[in-house]
Amino acid sequence: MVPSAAPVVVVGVGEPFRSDDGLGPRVVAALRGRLAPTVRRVERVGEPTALLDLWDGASLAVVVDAMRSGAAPGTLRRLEGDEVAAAALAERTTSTHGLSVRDAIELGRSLGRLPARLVVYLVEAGEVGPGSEVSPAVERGIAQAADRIAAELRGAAPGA
Amino acid sequence: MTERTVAVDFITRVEGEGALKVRLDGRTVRDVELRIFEPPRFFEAFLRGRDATEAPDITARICGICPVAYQMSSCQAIERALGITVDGALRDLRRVLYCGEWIESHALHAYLLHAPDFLGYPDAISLAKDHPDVVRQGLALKKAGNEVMTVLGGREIHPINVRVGGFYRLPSHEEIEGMVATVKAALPLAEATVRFVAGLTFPDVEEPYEFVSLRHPEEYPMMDGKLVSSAGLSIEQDEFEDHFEEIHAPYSNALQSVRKGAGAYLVGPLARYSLNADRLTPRAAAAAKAAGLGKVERNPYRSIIVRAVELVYACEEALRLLERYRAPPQASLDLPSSFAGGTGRAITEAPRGILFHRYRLARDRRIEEARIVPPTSQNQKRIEDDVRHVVERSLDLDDAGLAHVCEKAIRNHDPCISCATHFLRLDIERR
Repeated sequence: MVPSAAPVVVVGVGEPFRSDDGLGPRVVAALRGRLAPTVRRVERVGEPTALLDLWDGASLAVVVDAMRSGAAPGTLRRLEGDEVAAAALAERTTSTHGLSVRDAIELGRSLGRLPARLVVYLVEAGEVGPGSEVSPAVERGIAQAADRIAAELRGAAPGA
Repeated sequence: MTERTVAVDFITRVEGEGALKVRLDGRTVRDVELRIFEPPRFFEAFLRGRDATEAPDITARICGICPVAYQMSSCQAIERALGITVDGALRDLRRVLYCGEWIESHALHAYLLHAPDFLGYPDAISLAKDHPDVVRQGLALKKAGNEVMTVLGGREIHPINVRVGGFYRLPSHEEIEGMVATVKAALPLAEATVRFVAGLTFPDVEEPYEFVSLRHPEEYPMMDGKLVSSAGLSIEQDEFEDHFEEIHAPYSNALQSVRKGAGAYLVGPLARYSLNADRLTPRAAAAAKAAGLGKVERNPYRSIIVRAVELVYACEEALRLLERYRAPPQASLDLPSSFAGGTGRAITEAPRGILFHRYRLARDRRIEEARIVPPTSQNQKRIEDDVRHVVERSLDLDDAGLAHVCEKAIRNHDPCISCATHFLRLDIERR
């Protein structure tokens, strides 16, 4: 069965066959073996409403997604609390589905189903056409995001 | 004559992205083009040279919403090429897994993508603000489907537990009990869904569809049966390519399917229901009747009722199969040790309609050629006709209003454009 929400979850969002859009799952894959065993790592959700189940009851959820804000590809941003609402409202993330991460967060808020703390890491995507490779600049952003998340969770997860 | 061009970016609330262009000449609809930018035959190309047993896992990645459909069509096509038949308890388990996918996909579409159209909300988020209980009910159903897929599929998305010949791991007794409890709790929610959607208000429209779906001697169709149409076609699954062909539209990367000598046709819930209403389980049939569905349903907007009835069916059918389940001696059939090479074809009913796979295998079981015809590319031409008709009925609307009714007409068919396309933009050009 699906384990009920872990205290800390890290989730990647994106489509690995859409070039840079697959960066979220790649960041979470890069965290394999670098997180405390109590942290639940989910490399990819296919459809963002699944986030509501994943983070329900969690003390901390970290979501990693691609963004298209006009910044240089590979640019990393970390958002938390009110920043998530403000920034996520202003920038649509690159989602291949009808509901975006922004929608999932707003839906969670309307239904009272958000984690106690929600942190969103966004990496600027360049190319999002069909393809299974990411661009070199985004590759660097992925490594950077993985390092920052690993460092952040070292202090957050019990048993770390 | 005045010329006008309207551009609306992105059709929202469909799976994936695509583009629609409508050209109007005064009050005449000149062209309707649903453009699909498919990663062209991407998967068919990289299946070549892979071992046949890899096809289910590779093709499951084509769609995040209907991976089970891809696994089932690929497994069955390859099993037919190898000359083996998965039946008994293994077939039942596959069917339960498929029910899980129908539940998850239909709950997502009915509640979060389609219902806002009828209740006057721009999206599920604003719907959730006023009617949180409705959205909670939809998410609870979706979660039930997801739990079945997680147990039998091995993980939450991109299931990995299905293999050519059966499964890698069979569920434990506790897992079967868990699924029974989950689906039992979901069944009344599915019935409540039918009551909820039957109370919505629908435009009074009927489309002269040629419906195409599978038809099985006893079951509501999912994985087996003949391919039939409302125009009287009745063929074996192997004969699909003799009767249906794909034509290339210059404005689209996806190929458009037509029935040879007949033209556009419709697959999906309306087709399945209209050709198989007599195969529904008792509670699903009762729900359909109470909701006012006849034997045939040609109103595309009322597809939301049919999806809800199929939610009841999927719960009832999964329960029936789980309750009679006895673990088979092995999780998977042995594949034949010698193989002369050959071709296998299969059609299964993805939530949004029939999905055709064909594989030509060499003697060493490597894939020499693969062909995949997803449901959305089959519906593409018929969706264009629906859009043409809705535009003809709505010429007095302003551009934003017109764009909105076009989006709704497309959304009726729950296109999984991520299987077939990306980037749905909408352009309306008036002359």
